[in-house]
Amino acid sequence: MSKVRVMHYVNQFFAGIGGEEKADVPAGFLEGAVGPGKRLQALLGDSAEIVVTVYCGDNYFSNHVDQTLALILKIARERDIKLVAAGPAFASGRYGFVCAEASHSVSGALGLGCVTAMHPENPGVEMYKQYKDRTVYAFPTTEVVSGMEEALSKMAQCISKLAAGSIMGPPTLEGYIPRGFRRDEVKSESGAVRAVHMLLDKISGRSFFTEIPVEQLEAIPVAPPVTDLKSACLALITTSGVIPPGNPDGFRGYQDSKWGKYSIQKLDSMLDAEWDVIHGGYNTAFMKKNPNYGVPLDVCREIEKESVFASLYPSFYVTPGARGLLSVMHRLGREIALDMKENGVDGALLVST
Amino acid sequence: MGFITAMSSMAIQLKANRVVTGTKIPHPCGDPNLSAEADRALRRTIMNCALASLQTDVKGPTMFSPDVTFTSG
Repeated sequence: MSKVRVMHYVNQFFAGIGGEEKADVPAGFLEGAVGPGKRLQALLGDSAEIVVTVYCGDNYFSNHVDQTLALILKIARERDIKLVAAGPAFASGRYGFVCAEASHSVSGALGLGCVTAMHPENPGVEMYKQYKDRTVYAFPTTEVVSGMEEALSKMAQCISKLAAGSIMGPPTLEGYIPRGFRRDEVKSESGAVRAVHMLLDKISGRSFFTEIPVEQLEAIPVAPPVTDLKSACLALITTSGVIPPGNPDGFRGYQDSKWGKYSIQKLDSMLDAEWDVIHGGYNTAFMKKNPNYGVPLDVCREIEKESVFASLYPSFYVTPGARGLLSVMHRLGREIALDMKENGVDGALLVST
Repeated sequence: MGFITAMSSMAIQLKANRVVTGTKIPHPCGDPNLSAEADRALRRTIMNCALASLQTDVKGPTMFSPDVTFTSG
């Protein structure tokens, strides 16, 4: 049986081209295993063969993302690559970023298994978690290169397993960084029995594993308070899906990946104009009848006239929030915040259904 | 930013910093079972609370509950 063909991605340093002074070196490739790839190959033994090593300068990549990923895909196709290894990148942010992007790209375009490794706080891990590619596995490493052997060993085990066509188990068993998938499995005991055991373990101070880990969210930096409301410009945002009639911007009503901004400049109430509501997550009948429930324009105008605040921003912002992916919603939030800053908005009120 | 939602405890869990409790999921800023006037007054109370939240210095997720009553609609 011929060995499974592996492509290995390393940065310019690990490819032996040079350090920071070579960070602008364009993407290229070398035959066979190079640098840490040689040790990786030794660990892989006969299970798989690193046939080509792709490298790229850490800075070059961020300015040439599309070209570099295209080259990686081209080589993968031409060389009949079956699995991709990337890194280990340790705590190097730029390197980790490429490992995550390259893995995502290869997984998406070719459906190949990708194995990478980096420190859990490497920004590449955030992308890995957001991309949630089913064929990408990232293993945790130390911050610095001293953990090379351990990192390569974890990568090699995973690559060998994938090369043999085995199915990877859950992260707690296999050691990769959780991607956030929940997979069905058959247990001999019912959920009720398992829950009681878990509770007893917890009460007795024994260790236990939850079957439904809750995603840990990072704290959101607190915005300073609006200190001078009387001179503030305020904007309204809604995730209720209130949009102009006919849905001119083509919102889907669920898992939307864009936001809109519609004028309310000449209106004293949302009832002064026609609106549609598109949202796949709640009964929109009340909102259709009176969109002030989601865009409280009528009372905001009243308060504006009383000079409690200086002015209402002349448009409201909207996205239908139904089944929104956290990563997408983060982006929409950033984009809306940026637009508000550019337009001199001092504070915002978000109404969510 | 003040975040007005009927699911305020969930918003706190999701780490929103200034959460204002709205009435119900399909109509967070009002109550369609009330008369138009009372409905609007209820909305005003919620927005007043939201404006107060904007002016409050908070250290982390904080809930602001407007003093309102509404039907179960």
